[in-house]
Amino acid sequence: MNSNTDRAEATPALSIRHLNKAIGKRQILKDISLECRPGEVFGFLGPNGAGKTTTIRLVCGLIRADSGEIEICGENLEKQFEKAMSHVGAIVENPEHYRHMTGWQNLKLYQNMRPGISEERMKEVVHLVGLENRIHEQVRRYSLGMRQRLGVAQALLHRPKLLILDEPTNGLDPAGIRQLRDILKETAHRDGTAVLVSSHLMSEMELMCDRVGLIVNGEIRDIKPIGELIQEACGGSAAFLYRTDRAETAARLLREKIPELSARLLTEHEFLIYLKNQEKGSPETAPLPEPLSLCNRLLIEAGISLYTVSEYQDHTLEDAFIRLTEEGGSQIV
Amino acid sequence: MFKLIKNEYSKLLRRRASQILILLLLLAAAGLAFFFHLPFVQSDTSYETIAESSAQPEEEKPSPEQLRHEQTEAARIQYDALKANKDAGIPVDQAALDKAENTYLEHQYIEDHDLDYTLTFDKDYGYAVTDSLLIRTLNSAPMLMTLIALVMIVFAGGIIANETSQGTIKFLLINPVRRGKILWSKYLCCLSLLVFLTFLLFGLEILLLGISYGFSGYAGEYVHAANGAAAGTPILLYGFQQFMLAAVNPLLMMTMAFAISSLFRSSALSIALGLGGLLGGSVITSLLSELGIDWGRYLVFSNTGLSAVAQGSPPFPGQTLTFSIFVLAIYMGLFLLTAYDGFTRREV
Repeated sequence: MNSNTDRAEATPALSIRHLNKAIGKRQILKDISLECRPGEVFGFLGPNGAGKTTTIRLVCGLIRADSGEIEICGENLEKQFEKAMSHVGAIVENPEHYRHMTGWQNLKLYQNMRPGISEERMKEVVHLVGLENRIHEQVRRYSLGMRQRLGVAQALLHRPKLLILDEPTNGLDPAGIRQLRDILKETAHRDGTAVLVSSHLMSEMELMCDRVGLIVNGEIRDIKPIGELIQEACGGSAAFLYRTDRAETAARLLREKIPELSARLLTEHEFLIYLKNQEKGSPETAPLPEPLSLCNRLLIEAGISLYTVSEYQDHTLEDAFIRLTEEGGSQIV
Repeated sequence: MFKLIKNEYSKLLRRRASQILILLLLLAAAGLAFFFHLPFVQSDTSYETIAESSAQPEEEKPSPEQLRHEQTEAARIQYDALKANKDAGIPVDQAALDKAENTYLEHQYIEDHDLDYTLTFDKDYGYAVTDSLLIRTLNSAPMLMTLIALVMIVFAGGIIANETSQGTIKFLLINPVRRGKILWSKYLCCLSLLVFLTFLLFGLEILLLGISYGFSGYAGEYVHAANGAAAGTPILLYGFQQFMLAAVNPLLMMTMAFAISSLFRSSALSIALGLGGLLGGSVITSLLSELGIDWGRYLVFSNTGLSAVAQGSPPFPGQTLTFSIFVLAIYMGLFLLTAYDGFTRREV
């Protein structure tokens, strides 16, 4: 794990070590380790089904790990559950509230379960998430965005040292997203809260996070400051667009023969391949003629008609994300 | 812990459905109290005929003392006749002899204690031998307990399952409170509500009955003879005892529904099984008892009828009160352990 920020704070807000979790026969998480430090917004990035929510549920004590350790502010989650959880505020998956009660009554329930929350603090949080006008309405009349806001209010209520938000921008309007971003940045940078945000939207991560952990197929692929990650994803490899008669067969063939290559199917006749650059950090360098000619040869030998091959410029975040998380097609594994 | 229970109450009682159920309970209590005043209820006289046939018909308005004495005498003559037959070696139905003896003892007791004959009764007559509507209603008040049980099974069956189906369980469990505490707060919420509703409905029934038929009825006594001695219990105490004994089955079935709710997280399943146990349990017990299947005595339903067991007529031979209480305690422990284990280990 590399870090640029200095380790002034001795104990990380969240420290996960060698976490394994299987549900049934499927190994959901494989040896996950990561740290969240006070004052940073840590993005947890990965495609659907990669294990983001499972990790978050583990951290919140909703499920138990098969092996590994979770410490929150130095407190072992399993052994000192109440102490550890007193530092945590969270939204896990969808923000669910008691629909027959008002937003305020819902918050009251949390006030009773967590020590040291004053009425003033409740009002402050409600103001912060912009629900002041509707807080005394029944939750059943709330929109998804409003329920999300109430969820955030609930999570912030006791000034947690570790704030965990699972895809918090779901259902929020653009103004709401910006507002949430501001809230998160402020709580992290001003109050020194560690914020763990999960998302499958890289663009969102770029705006919110200081550091990003990339999770694919239950494994941590990379933990880096967001800038570096994007740089690497886009700059570290070159993309080529192939037009052939049988794109799917061709893509599969190349993936099998060249392990360091990743391929993405676009249409019936088009697919992209990504090749790692040997010279690091210079996207402008000549794009590896050798593997490329190998690809072409393989395809022709397999009797696939090659129409065109061209360099492909796609340094957008979306594509970077897809490239980073791509593992043999777009199937959820 | 107190705050957790308060939360559970707040979640439960703010539901419209819960409010309606409790309102219906109160209405049922009122309906029972004023039952004989209802316009469509025929003034029912069957009990009087029974009372009169078992007692001496009154002819010329004798004084209460005289009446009581006459009845004692009549009962004694009947008993003596049967006993003389038996002593003379003529076959006599033992049950009839016992009944005659008990009747005599009860009448003797009533006479000795100068009780108002119209305000005493004994269940063994089939009907309360009293013309007090108040006492007759009070005697059937334990059926309110069945209604309370219905409501409590619905509450207990939903208290965990609803959180799961709404998804709020995740937000409940991410608080700095151990799961065990949350589970106990839920159970204590149900338990305290059961106790509260039991006392509330009993108190309300007492009050409404007094308003309905006059409070003088409460001067009555329940007279019962067994094993060669008669004893009287003040009618209020007796009614209270019956009410409490009737609460045993609801308590067990509510706890069972709670455990199922925790284990399977399905309110439909736990409510169905809870109600099935409440209403169908006695059928199962009597079936097993008739078929002579002896292990039936270990079923929870076979032991919840504590009043029958206490009065010496248990569904299975040799079933003592200690045995029943022991079995019930084991079931309670089992249900609560199941609930605890299911709740604390469940992955959410």
